[in-house]
Amino acid sequence: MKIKKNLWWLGGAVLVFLAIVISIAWFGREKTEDKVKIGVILPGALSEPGWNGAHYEGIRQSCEALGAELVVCENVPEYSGKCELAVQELAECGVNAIFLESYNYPDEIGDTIRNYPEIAFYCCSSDIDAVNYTPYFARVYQARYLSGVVAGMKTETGYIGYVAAMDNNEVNRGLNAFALGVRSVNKDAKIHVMYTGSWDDSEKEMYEAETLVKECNADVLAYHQNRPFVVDAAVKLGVDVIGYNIGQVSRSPHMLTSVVSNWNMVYREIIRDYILNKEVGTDYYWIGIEKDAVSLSFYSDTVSSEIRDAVEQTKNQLMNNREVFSGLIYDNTGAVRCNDNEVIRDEILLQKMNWLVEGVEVYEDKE
Amino acid sequence: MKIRNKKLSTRTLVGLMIFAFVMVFVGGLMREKLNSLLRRHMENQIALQTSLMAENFQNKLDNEIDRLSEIAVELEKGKYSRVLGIYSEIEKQDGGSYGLLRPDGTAAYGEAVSAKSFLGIRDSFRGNSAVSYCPEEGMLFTVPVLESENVKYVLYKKYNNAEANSGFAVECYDGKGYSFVCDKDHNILLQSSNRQLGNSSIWEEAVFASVEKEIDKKLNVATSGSIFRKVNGREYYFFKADLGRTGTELVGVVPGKVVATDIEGIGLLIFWVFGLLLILFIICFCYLFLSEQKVRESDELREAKLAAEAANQAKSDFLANMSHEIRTPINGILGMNTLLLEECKDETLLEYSKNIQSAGQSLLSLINDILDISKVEAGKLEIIPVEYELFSVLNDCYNMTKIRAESKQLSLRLSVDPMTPSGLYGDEVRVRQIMNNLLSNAVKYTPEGSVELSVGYESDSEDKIRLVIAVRDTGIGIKQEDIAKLFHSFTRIEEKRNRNIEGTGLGLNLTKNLVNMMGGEIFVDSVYGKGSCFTVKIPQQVINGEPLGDFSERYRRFIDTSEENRTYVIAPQAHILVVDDVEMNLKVVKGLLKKTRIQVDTADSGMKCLELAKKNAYDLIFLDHMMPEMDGIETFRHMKELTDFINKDTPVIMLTANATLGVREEYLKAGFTDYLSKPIQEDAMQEMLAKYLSEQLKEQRKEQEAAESQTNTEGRDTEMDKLRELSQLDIATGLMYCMNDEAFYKEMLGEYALADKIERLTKFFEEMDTDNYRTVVHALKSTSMTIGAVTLSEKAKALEMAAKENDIDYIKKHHQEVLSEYSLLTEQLRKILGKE
Repeated sequence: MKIKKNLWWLGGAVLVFLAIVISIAWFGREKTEDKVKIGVILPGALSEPGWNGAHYEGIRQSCEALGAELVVCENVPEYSGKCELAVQELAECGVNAIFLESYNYPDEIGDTIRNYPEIAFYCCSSDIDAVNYTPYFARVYQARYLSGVVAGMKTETGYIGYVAAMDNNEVNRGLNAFALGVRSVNKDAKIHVMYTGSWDDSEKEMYEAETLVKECNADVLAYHQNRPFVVDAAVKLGVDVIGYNIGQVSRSPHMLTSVVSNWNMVYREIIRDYILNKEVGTDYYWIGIEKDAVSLSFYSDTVSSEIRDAVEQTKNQLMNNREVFSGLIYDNTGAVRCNDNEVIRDEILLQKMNWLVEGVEVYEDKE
Repeated sequence: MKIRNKKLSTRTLVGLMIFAFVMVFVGGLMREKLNSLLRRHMENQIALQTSLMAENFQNKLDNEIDRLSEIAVELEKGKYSRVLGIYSEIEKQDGGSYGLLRPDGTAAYGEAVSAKSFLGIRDSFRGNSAVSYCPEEGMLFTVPVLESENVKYVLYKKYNNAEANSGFAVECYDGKGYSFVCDKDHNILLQSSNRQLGNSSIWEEAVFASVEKEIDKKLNVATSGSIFRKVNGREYYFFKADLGRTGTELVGVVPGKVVATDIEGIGLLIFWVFGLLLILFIICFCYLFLSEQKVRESDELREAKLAAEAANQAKSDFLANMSHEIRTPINGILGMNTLLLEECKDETLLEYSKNIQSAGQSLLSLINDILDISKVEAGKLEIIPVEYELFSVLNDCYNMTKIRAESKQLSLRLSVDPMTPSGLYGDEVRVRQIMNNLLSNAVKYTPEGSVELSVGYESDSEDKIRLVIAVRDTGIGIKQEDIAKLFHSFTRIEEKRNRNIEGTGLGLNLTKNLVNMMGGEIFVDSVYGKGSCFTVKIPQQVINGEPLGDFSERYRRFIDTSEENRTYVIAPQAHILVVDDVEMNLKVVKGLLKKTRIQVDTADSGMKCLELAKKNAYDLIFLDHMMPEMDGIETFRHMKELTDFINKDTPVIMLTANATLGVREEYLKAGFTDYLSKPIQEDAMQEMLAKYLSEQLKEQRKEQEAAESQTNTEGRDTEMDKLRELSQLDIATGLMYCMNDEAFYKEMLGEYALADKIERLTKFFEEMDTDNYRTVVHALKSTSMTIGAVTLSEKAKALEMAAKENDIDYIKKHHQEVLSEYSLLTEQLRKILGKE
């Protein structure tokens, strides 16, 4: 009886003791902060190779590393009206920032962006201006310049075909850089370009690739599209081709190399800045080869070591302060766009690239 | 006991030690927690300050860039060397040198600077302004200079390391802290002047690597962070902030004692308080242990006290029950005595009868006092205010006391303030009781001299007064030390000296309780041997503010009229119904009404009452409350429910032995016209008749005349002899209950014989309906006693008690015995009286 009573007493004392210890430990405990939510709108599927897959992987890895939550809306074609709905959907999920992964989205939903001032929007286009909008991109044109060196040295006919999506700053910048790269090693080479008017149109892309080879006598193709249909066409036609956003796997010896961006690098910097809410020096992100944001991903066996050395040499120059758009540059109408000892600044590259350099010709389909 | 104490004290000691240990542990824990909280607070504060430092630093850089941009705008207009020359002159005192670079890396003005050393040059060629550092060469601000659309030159301003440090290094905490700006590879670009701290061992890789890792974790979610570290026994706060997109960071340290001296004070204060609390706890602990010991000892005392209280309660219950039981026979005695007083012509017997009445009255009042006291003790006594005439109260009290005072040859004086309001609202019964108690006390304890009652008032407000009743006597007085004891129950002071004076010691205690319950006060003023004065002040409401006037004159007038009007109602035409389950009570009522020559019908149950009332029209109905099967209220309700009922408007008066106050209101609410309390007093009965019989029926005569009309024709007969032979009957007792009137006695016997209760007793017995069974046995008990069947009465009483306590076994055992005895008696009686 007495022992039992003492046990009760002891048990009670232990309980009180534990209660005190726990309450002290609880007191002043740090609150866990809410995770930042990042939204992404993709024009295609997140699993598909090329533009969509590359961007999705980059952003996923960055969010993982920085502890942010990721919400994805995929298969949202441009100018389909779906983009606005996707933004609404993401806003209802409570996202803090939205990455628009297609060049024309801001043009399509400019008003919607202004209607959500509490959400930060990011896209590769510099065509609109809003307080909560920041353009970003990798300096892909640097890698295109390098791929131009490969193409210029590889071509035998002196004609190179280029399947471009549409006539805008981004596409023209890439095309111009490519052309400058080609002509830096092959002064007389000509670049024929055809616009598809779409980021994603397999039929037209394949048709135009064929046209460029057959009509313009092109023996090397390059392209600026979301998916690698041009590569398929080139392999079929037996001509060389420069890939775009294709990783480590070479599909065929004809695929000489691929222009790639290290998007993880880019997104990590942007998202970290967003989380820290830092004042940034420039009001856009444009990260280049000097920070490993862009490169050529691989070489086909048919790319000789001579070519590889030349590319390496050019790359070193670019890493060491040589600008792609510098020195004497004429456009294809013969006008001087840049004098010797001058550099074309970013503002023009981003917003005023409505001209094509010397040696580029737009091939008008005869039909 | 001694051993137990020792054991307890060791236990106490162990308990105390455990407690102290726990408290010290908890204290240590708290100290640790508090320190870490304070440190975290300091870390947050320093982090905040760090972000301010970083912002300040950025602003300085922005200013420099702004100035450079202004120059670039000037340069775009041409005349490069002249413009730059001027600026170089102006800003010589700041240090730094200007220069102009071409895209190929050559200098157009000033010295050439390598774009490899300063990454900002490239940024500027792309059109942006930039700040860049080179650990070997210093710091470079660059802005683009445009020619039409394109970048033609980059304008720079360069500071060497010394100039950069003095111009841009972040000085913190009045130079007591140390900070530096470094790039991601920890190349120090700028550092503050406190180099002693800068060269300290805290920056060694082993220490700083873990510090930086921890701060970087914080930097993932904030612009700046700080952590506390103890290095070589000294406390430091390290801090760090990112400096925008220039790829640099601000890192620094400040000794804990520089920033946290005040904070340490807070900790110290809290631990002083904690220590004090600890001591307080221990004191409380000791106190609790000691008092627990005491409580254990007092447990036995408390048990004893509880037992005593229970005994006391039992005594009180017994007293209350006994008083109630005693009241019933006294009522019988007094009722019979009233009849005797009226009908007996023998002077000697009348004298005896008067003595019986006086003794009976005092017994009744004593019993009432006891009942009241037990009610007060049980908290059941209620104050029931009614409207009343003060004069009638004074009149009654004066009359009652006057007789007693005269018998002791005391002079009774009464002085009443003529301005006292005449109509008051309060508990009349209790006021009367208080006044009577004081007066009878005064008479009791005054051997010679006088008793004086003075009545006045103190007005509180327009309709509220305090009635002041003062009773002064020239009696034996009270000793000063006894005054306090005066109001205790059962305490009689100077028992020895007063042993010849009757009294229970209840009166004053009850009086005081009553006065208190009414919100009044009581005062005693006494000189031992000379006399006492009791003063009572009771708050009452005024209903009729008209002054009372001169009491003695009014009293005289009242006496005259009442003497004249002392009449009996004679109403031979009147027809009334009396309902009571006890035959005896019916007899008493009948006897009381004899003189009035009213036709009286009786009924011994509710059912019979209904039957009779349906048949005959009555002028008045007296209805008993407590009856078996259907009580008075139920009967009344049934009557009201009857349609075409001839007695619809007949006044119904409730007869009740239930003297509780407040019951009257209940009865009136139920629809009764009035109520009459048992034992029925002749005066009260007459009053009822006068009030409720219509004038046409009444012939009012004086007492004398009424008495004249009485005839007395009674003689002996042979039946008495036969009755005397019955062993169950004690004729003497029976006659005593019947005023020694043989004829009345025989009448009672007849009633007894005919009112056969056997059937009902058997029925209730078989149904085991103890409540109804008890009522019948109760009636059997009292009627048997009245006719002198003493043994039967006692046996019936035993059965009643058993029924009350639900003692079924006892009832089963004795029921048959009582029943056979009862049936034998009634049979014999019927035979003798020829009632078969």
